[in-house]
Amino acid sequence: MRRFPIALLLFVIMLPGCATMTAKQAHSPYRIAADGDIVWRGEYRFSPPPKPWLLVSLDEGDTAFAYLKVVSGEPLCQSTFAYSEEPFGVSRNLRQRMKEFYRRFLWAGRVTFDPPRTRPVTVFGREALEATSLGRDPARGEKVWTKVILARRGERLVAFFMTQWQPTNGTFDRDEEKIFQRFIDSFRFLKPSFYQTL
Amino acid sequence: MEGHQRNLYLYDRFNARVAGVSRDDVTTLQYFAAKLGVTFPLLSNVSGYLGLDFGALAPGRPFFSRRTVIIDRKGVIRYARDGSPDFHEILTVLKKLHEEEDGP
Amino acid sequence: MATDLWHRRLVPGLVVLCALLFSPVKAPGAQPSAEELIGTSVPIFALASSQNTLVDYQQDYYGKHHLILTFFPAAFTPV
Repeated sequence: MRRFPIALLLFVIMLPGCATMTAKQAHSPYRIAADGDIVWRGEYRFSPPPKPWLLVSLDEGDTAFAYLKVVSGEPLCQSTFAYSEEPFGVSRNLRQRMKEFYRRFLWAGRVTFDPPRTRPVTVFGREALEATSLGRDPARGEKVWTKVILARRGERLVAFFMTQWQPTNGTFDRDEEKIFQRFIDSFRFLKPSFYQTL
Repeated sequence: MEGHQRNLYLYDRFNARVAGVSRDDVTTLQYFAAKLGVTFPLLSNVSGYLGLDFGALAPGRPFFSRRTVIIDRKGVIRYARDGSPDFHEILTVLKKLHEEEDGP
Repeated sequence: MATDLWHRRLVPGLVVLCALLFSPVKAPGAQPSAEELIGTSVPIFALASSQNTLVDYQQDYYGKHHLILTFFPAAFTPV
């Protein structure tokens, strides 16, 4: 089965910014547990964010997924947050990987990022790294708030990240970060990854 | 290629190496390797003969098609797949080759 | 006369046609499929690399390491 590069798929979701993109509701093999948690492919379990956040399945066989919220109004903006099993970059060093990640993040959206602000955090009981950065696209009159958390899973790094697009003179909704953090705090692995079984 | 670079430590564990091959000239590949940050070689096959041998150069096409092969230490092709590399498959094959030689 | 034509032209022609139809030899220009490569021996090759070295399969990999080769269309395009 052909695997679709995760980076490219996430780019498809992240690119439109404040454009009129509608969320794809592709068929995805997840189930809803009795307590309302989502169990994704038998591998992850997490508490879903409240409506109007919409779960987007990226591709068959892929291990990443995203939540999308479209903010009504003019122009139509969107927010996303996602989990990536194979985030941009190659290094297994948190700081180096964060630099590599931001070099590729939203590259096709022609966004220029401020230097990310980083701080150490703990995810899955292990050291992790959080970065926040404001990106700008003056040509389209848009800005994007981003938060990226790189965490360890076995020997490898995984990522949670969020974006919130607004027009240049718009105001960011800081409550979204709280929803994002609750999502991360609820996230559990249900079985070892492919790489952990090698 | 980023996926290969990310997995280099695993390839090393299974006594494997990786190389990319295209019809670009060496200078272009040097720039590409630097841009990607890959530390494995990208091979320049301007004439395309290696692509022909491995079935990656379709008649009339100027570029290679995407294809990944795994050659064991005895020079036998043990895996071949079209399209972008499937890293789970590659690592599964490498693990098998490693176990064949060294035991599980 | 008809018999003569049959023996001289048509029969050899039919023989050649049958040989081509049932021959295991690939048509010129046909490329091996991925499946057809498996189990075959790698050709000897040596190519210049992005690392300013000559990569020689026989010297660098044969008997030493398994080798993953990824063919890709062109630099600065997605692989």
